Amino acid sequence: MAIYPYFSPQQDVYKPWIQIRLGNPSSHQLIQQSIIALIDSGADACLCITDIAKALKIKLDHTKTREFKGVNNQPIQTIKGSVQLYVCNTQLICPFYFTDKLPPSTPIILGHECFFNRFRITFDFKNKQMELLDTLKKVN
Amino acid sequence: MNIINLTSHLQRYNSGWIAYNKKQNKVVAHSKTFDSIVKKTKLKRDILLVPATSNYLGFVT
Repeated sequence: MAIYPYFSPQQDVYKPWIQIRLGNPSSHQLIQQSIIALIDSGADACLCITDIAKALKIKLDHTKTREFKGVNNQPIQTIKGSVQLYVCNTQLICPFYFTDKLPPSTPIILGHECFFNRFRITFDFKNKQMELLDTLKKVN
Repeated sequence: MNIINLTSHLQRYNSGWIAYNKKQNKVVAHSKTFDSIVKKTKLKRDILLVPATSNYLGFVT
């Protein structure tokens, strides 16, 4: 089990952000820098802005579209792509849904499909930290 | 475990991305686009890319 602190990007605002790295599983191109992502238990899948797909030269199959809906029921059109995700000392190949409709504060969302499927996550807002347990790794 | 407080680093930026050096605890670059911030900091180490916006409050899913 690993413990990660919350981030505070603004006074009195605390976010369950985590540092990740992203790569292209086809070309094995990897963005060297770590990037902030929001762990979002309300998201059905992992979403990401299209600019990141362009930076990684991930080919997006425009026949593989999926519509999500936000809390206001507004549709968010996305295109599916495959991403190499490095998080919590684990490497995964995850489906990500790319869109330009994410808020500027939240360009990457880690949701249920792939991420919550794999990790057991406990949010501890009182102590401004979260616990992540990789359910496929053996505990000694 | 202490929170990672980026408040003072982010308050000067309303948009784009910042590159925060985790070891030096300072912003080393800012760009309007993701592609640009990646290129600007390609050779730097210990970089965390953080989205910059004027308000981080009020997000719901």
